[in-house]
Amino acid sequence: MEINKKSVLYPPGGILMWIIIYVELFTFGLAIAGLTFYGAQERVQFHQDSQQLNKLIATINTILLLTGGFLVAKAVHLVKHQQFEKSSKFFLWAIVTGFGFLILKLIEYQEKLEIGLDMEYSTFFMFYWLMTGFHWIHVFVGIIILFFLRRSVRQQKNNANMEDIEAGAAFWHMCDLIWLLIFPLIYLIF
Amino acid sequence: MKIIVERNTTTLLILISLTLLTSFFIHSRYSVIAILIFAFIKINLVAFQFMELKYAHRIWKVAFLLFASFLLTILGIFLL
Repeated sequence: MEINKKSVLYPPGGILMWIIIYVELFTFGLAIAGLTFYGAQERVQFHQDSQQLNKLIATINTILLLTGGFLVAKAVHLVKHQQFEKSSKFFLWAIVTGFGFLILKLIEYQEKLEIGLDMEYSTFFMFYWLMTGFHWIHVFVGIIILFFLRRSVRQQKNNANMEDIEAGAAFWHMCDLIWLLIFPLIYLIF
Repeated sequence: MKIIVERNTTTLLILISLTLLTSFFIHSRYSVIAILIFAFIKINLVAFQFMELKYAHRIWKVAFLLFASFLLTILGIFLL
């Protein structure tokens, strides 16, 4: 069934997914506002703490997530044109970029824990662990969703529900959006 | 179809370029503004191009633009 995206009730990915996206962005937005509020009060401490983060890993992770988003967008586009085999490969590579992100983040977490920069170290690191940790879980869930999308596409279901595929893809892109808010605030600005 | 694919590729290249650019900014009062503006551009590129928000009803487009603008403005106020 063709989805009328111009209808206010059917944004790409479905209205329910967009409600979830707004709730998630609002929740992370509050955390980010909290981070900047305390950051403005303890500017020197936040700057010192921020300098202890690995900006290279964070930049590579940002590129990995953006590339993953690009691959998922292409995969969805290919499904719409019944190119299931090709689409499946794009979903697979998106999953690979997602795992790349998770692994690099774990390496970064290990670095921090080894030198005692845990959640109780400072206000900055409390926000760092909470925000990046919850985002890590979101990416993990996103990978599981992509896995199921790929399986659905591989079975080449002509009656595959396009709205389900777009909703799954929208969740993955939401992880990008959240990271694009977290990355500059935690790694660059302070 | 070809145009859409090329736009996605162009979007990715812009996103990566902006990311690399922001990563090399020196810590200063003005870099905060630039980083927030770049973040705003990146968020909107992902939403409008990759999530295909550009095809949605204008209410969704406006809502997203307002939300992103509001959030980043609040952050800018706290940080400057």
